[in-house]
Amino acid sequence: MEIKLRNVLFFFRKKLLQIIMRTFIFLLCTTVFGLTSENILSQNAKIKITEDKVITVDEVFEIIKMQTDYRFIYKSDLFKDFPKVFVKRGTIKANDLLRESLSKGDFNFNFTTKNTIVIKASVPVVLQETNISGQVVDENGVPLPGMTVYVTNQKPSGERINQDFLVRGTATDFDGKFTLLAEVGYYLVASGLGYEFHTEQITADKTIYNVSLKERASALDEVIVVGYGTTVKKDLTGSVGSVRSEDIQQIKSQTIDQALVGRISGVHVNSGGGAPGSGNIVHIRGLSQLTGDNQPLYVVDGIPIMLNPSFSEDGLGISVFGDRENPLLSINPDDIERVDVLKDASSAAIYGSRAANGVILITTKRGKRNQAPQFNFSYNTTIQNPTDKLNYLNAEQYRTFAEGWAPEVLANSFFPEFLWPVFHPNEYQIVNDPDNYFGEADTDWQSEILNRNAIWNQYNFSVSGGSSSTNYLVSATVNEQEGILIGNKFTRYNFQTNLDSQLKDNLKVGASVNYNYSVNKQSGIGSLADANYRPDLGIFDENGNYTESIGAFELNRINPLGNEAKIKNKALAQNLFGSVYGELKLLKDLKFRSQLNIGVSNDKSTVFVPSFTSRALFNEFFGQGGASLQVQTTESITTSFNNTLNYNATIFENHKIDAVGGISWDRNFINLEGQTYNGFPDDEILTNIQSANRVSEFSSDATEFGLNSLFGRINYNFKDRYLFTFTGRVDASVKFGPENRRGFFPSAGFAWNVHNEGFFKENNIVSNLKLRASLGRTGVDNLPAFSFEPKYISLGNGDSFYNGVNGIAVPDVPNQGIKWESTDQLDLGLEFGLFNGRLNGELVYFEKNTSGLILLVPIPAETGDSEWSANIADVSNKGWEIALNADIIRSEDFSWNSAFNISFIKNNVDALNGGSLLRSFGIAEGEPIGYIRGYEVDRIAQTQQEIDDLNANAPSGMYFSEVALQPGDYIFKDISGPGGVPDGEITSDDLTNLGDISPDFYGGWNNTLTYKNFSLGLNFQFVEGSEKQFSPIARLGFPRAYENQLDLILETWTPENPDATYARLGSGTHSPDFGRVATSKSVGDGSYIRLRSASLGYNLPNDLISKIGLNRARISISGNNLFTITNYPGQDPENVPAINPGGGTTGLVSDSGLSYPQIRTFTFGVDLSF
Amino acid sequence: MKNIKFIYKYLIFLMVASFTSCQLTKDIDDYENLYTLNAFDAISDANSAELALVGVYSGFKQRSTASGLPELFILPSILSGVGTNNNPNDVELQGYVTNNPIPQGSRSNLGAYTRMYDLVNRCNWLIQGMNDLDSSEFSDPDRHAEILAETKAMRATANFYLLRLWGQFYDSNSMYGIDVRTTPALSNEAFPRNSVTETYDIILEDLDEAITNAPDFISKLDMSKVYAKALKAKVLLYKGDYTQAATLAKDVIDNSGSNFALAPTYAEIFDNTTDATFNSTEYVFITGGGPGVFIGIENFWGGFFAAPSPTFTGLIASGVTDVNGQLISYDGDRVSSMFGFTNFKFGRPYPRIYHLRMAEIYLIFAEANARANNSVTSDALGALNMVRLRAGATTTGGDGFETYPATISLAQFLDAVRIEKMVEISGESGEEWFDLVRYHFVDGFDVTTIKESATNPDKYILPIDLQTIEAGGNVIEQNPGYN
Repeated sequence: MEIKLRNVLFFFRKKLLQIIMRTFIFLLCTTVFGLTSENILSQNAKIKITEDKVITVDEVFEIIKMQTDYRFIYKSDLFKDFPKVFVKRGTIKANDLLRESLSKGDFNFNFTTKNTIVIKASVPVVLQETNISGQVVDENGVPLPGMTVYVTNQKPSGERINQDFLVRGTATDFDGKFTLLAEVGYYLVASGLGYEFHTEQITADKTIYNVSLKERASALDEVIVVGYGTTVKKDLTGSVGSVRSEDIQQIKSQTIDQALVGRISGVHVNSGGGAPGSGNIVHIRGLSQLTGDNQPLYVVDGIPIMLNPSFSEDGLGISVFGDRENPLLSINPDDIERVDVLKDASSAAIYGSRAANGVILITTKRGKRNQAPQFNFSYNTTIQNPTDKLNYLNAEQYRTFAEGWAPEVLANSFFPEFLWPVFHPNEYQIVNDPDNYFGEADTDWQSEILNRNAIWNQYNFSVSGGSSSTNYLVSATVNEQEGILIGNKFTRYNFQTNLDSQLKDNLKVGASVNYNYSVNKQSGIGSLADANYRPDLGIFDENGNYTESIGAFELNRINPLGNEAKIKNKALAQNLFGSVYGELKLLKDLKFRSQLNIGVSNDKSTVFVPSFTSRALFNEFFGQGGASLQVQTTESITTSFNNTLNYNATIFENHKIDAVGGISWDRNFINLEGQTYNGFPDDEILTNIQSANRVSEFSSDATEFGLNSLFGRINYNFKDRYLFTFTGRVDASVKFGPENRRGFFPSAGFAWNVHNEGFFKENNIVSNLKLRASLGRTGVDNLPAFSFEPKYISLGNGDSFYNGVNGIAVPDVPNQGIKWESTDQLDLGLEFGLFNGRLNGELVYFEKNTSGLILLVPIPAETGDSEWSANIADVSNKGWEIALNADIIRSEDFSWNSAFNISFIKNNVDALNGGSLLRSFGIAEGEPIGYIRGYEVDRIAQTQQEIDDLNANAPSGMYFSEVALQPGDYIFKDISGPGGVPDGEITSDDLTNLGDISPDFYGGWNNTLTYKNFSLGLNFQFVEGSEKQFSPIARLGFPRAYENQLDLILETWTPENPDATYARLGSGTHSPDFGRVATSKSVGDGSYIRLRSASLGYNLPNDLISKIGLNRARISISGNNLFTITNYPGQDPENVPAINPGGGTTGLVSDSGLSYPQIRTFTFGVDLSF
Repeated sequence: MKNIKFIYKYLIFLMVASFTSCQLTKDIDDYENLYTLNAFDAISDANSAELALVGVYSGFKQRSTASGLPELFILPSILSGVGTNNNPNDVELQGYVTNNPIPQGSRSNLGAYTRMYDLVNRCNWLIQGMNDLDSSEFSDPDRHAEILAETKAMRATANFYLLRLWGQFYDSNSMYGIDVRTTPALSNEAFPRNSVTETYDIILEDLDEAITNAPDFISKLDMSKVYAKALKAKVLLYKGDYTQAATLAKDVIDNSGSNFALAPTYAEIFDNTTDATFNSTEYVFITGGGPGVFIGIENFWGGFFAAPSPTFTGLIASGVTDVNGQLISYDGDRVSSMFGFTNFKFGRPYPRIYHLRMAEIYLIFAEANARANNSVTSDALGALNMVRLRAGATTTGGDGFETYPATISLAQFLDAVRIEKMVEISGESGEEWFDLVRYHFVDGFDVTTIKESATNPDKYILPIDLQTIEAGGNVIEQNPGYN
């Protein structure tokens, strides 16, 4: 092989020593940090070559000796048979000449005296040749075609292999296989774009080299999906966080939202409960909507999904009663390749009026070209249990409580004594005939209603592959998940298939179809609160019937197993997603792409409530007695038609332009229907609609809305140093009034890759340094369509029904100016990579100022309405995000990657401008969204004297006028008064902020450790400073003697227990103002640290599995929510209300103890590829 | 070249798609609001007009998402002391109990005010729609005028309810009428108040059209000529035009046909057990509730909002008028011996709001006639005694629940009419309060003799909640005494 050296003109001999020294360092130095710079020898010393010629290495030394003072000492035959060198006329740097000349061998250099260098061969000169072969696969055992495999005589010290040491090489074939001639002692290297490089020394006793390449993690070249296109991480000017499939799978969830937990800075995920398929709450960079759910826009392969579309005037989603299945069930987490989260305006503004809460882009898996069919089968079985139980009293404790409390109830009754047996049957009997009242049993109803060790089986089969022009993927998944409460079973089937084909050189088409079908069966037992049945009663009485007692409203209540457990809920959801696209290369740099997406989501939920249940008995009050059947159907169709032109070119070498412009039509149709049928002949069989006596309720809601948009993005990159991104979108929507029919959402981003600057000295420490800034505007459009239009409608809830006819009316005054809520966002970021990319980090500051938030605003009532929805309020979010990612250990057998992120966000309602919410708690000017308003508890009153003294000093004569205080009541702190100073009594001036739902900070710590074939993942999540009201504490004010109580009541004040945590049972101070006001004691600290997931995997050795025809076999065990450190008083700090219409954020301020318990899981999994 | 062809073809496809309004590329302006009718052209035929009319009638019902009804009918009864509220924490209601209504932050007051304007607005939408609709759209061409007349009768009712609770209805020189709206509200613009006289003029104009064109009788849940006449009589009584009021009331009593007459017994008027009693001859106009048709009056009188006050029940149980030595008691057993006020007048399951019933017409006639003639005519006395006789009064000439004798003085007679209303129609629509107010301004009657705390005549009418005044940029002027 000839080596061409050119332009040899000058030389400077004085520099040669340095050159040689650097050569030496270059050749010998291998460090953990892999110093691989090829330019380390760069010096000015030049060697002049007078003419083109082919010379031996010995002659090279001669030339150097002639032109410098250097001497070389080496074995005379050391360079015999060494490849000759072709030198070209001109000058060449001395080090280049030397290096190029010696590059084909492995040599030791020794400096003896000044200017003398001893060169010895470091490897045996005589090499044993051997034929090796093998296969290159990815981590999942999928063969990788087209990977580079070569033999080198230098131990490669980093990813960038010096081509000069390459002996010979090849590429893997269709099946990832290769054969190669190699020399024992040399090194085999396998590498490929997007994969980490692999090397091992060739030994005499081994000829089969099966190589598993890791996909390159955290590389700057990672392709990021940014909406209507992709980019690479190093070219980003905005804040985008990503999660890849292997991380997604560590969290056991039916929907993708949960899997983002703790992974991305600025993204806060709160579990919506442990019910199979339940939706979660994702808040990106704080809260900015006062009405609505503050959840991001989801875009699955181009199809937008809105979780809680707005129908009703108060912006709180669905107005029809009943439940809708979680729309995210339309995508199976296993089918997802990656999730990219657009956080800042520069990246999100391409989604314009829907993007202010962030955008979550979901990309599903596709097959790869040039790949043999790859079959994959996986099986997972998961055992689920609650993260915690509630602490109920046992039978003895319950009896003590009931016997103590019942006389109190009677003593405070409004009813005359002779009516007590009628209106207080339980208490009356407890007092007068306790032995016949209490049973002998000691039943733990929690155990009875829990389905312990609930099983979740998951089977997935997929095949993918591709030819040189086409790739495909077909996948099927079956999920059978039991819930942890009895009677709950979730079954899900999912099919996914997609195809991409390069039809011609300039034309590519593709299509995908994704179908999900799920059935969610549940009983009426929805939370551990259903276990509040009397523990002194057994499950069955002596006749074998379910036990019964008198419950609320003097109605007989059967125990939960014979009562709520007999209610049958069934929710059926079907989702079909499909898309087709064509991509045409118009010019070399110009592509046109047209994509049509269609999503269909239908669900139907039915609830059958048998006539003997408490719920049915209670409905008698509303004239709807007997068994009832509630039916709700939702039908939703989304189409999105996008046409884009993409221009991607490099002009004059230094100017790179990547631009996309497009036009899109998005259309949504949602129809909801609900009916309640009443009066069935029996509770078991004749429960179909036709058997009902009557329809008692019926309602519907439907909306069709369109969003027609023009959008564009220009990325301009100068010399990889200066990056500019300009984005703009114009949205025209049927939600915006005629005065604001079109919204424009611009953004600009700038990034400076400092490390690419000429002045930035090459060094061992900093390998990447980027500063970035972006500014832009996005919106939220979650308001009802056509609210600006005066319209005749039949009003909801039968409001326009009169005299036998359902009339029509114009119900309100239309606001012609209604529009999106607008968010201006600033994002400043610093990204760095240290130690050759082994430590990467990001530090970001952001500010989000949202204005024009929609609230109810007073208008002149002479219009017929006293308020309307208008864009009026201002909210701001400011925060810091820090993310670090380190390869703490990176060696051949052992690696440890650790990623840590933390986000600090401060949220504030800047101005309400007179606006209000229909359900107006949790919002006040100057306080964060979802703050808890209440009284600070100072102490518990111990003596009447103490209270009399307080009253004596109160201007009104009553320290707390709402309640006549007694010993054992809370004494609230007198914080302020009419004059802004404490006035000696508790009034509304003393209400204060007792906390808010937004964490002060949150984040995650994610670790991946691998040792040979083992891998271990440990993912922690933490939340600090999130508060919510735990209602059972407030309910200590009015416990019911006929229900079991939480052990909180053991912590209540009695004269014998003066240091108790809570005020006396029945105190009016537990829930001031009818429960509208909190006390500091009823606020729970929702902070926690939890081991969100841990997984241990083992890849069976290739030698072993290849014998049974497998490419890869992996077994794993994993767990979710293995431990939680928290002080939260409820079942779990993540619990949120079970019923929260439209997912309204302000509804999250209280945990009524009725949510489905959070779960802890253990999973065993097998994953086979063949 | 191939590419260009392709683009060309694709562009054609796009154009075709958009020109043919393919759903994929639907223009924003082509979207329609589902299951709604554009308010400007919704009233397009007989059917839509009838439905919109039902929509106006339903405006007297409780609205599930907003307050104001039935509070409108109960607030004056709290002012009069017939009803009371015992919740010390309800600042607003305590304001009515103590005759010192809060000028801002109210719920019931603002709600009631809004609900009546909501009704006016529904009327205005329908009137606008009807004006654009030809009478030939109706199988009976007269129905066009009838619908308009019914609508205007309802608008007059709403405006009257607004005027008497928020305007100085007792003073025809006052500028404190109401903002009379005759076109649909399309923006949040506020307009100043009309004078009291202007307000009366518009109410009477609407009623005159209703008297001419309204149906003779459909049901007691619908507007009729008789109702329009009866309401006009009441409005004229308020206005102080006693002669005309008496004439019209007499006309209603004498010439309304068999559908309108005093019911034979008092108890049957309040038979809420069935909707079969909706067409009692007693009623002139009612709003009827039932399963799924919520009017809320029964709940609201059930204690949490208001309950009959012991002062009131005590007063009517023990109250007597000494007519030349004959001690005539206010009430026999109309209120006290029945099932109790709340179960009785406002019980389930078919509660009703008694906007106007025949007994009141008799009493309107009695008062108007006496005032017009400045003496107790036999007609006037007869009308008052008619109501008492029906309630079980005897005519023995002795003490007790007796009819009033012809020897009664004018002043005593007028007071007897007022007391009769207070007993006969107590709590039904708050009429007894407006009597107190009228008597105060006409006769100098001392309201505090009935309601001790009603010391400030400025507060005989309610404030317009400051929220709405401010929202309108202070264009609406607050009632005196509330600033």
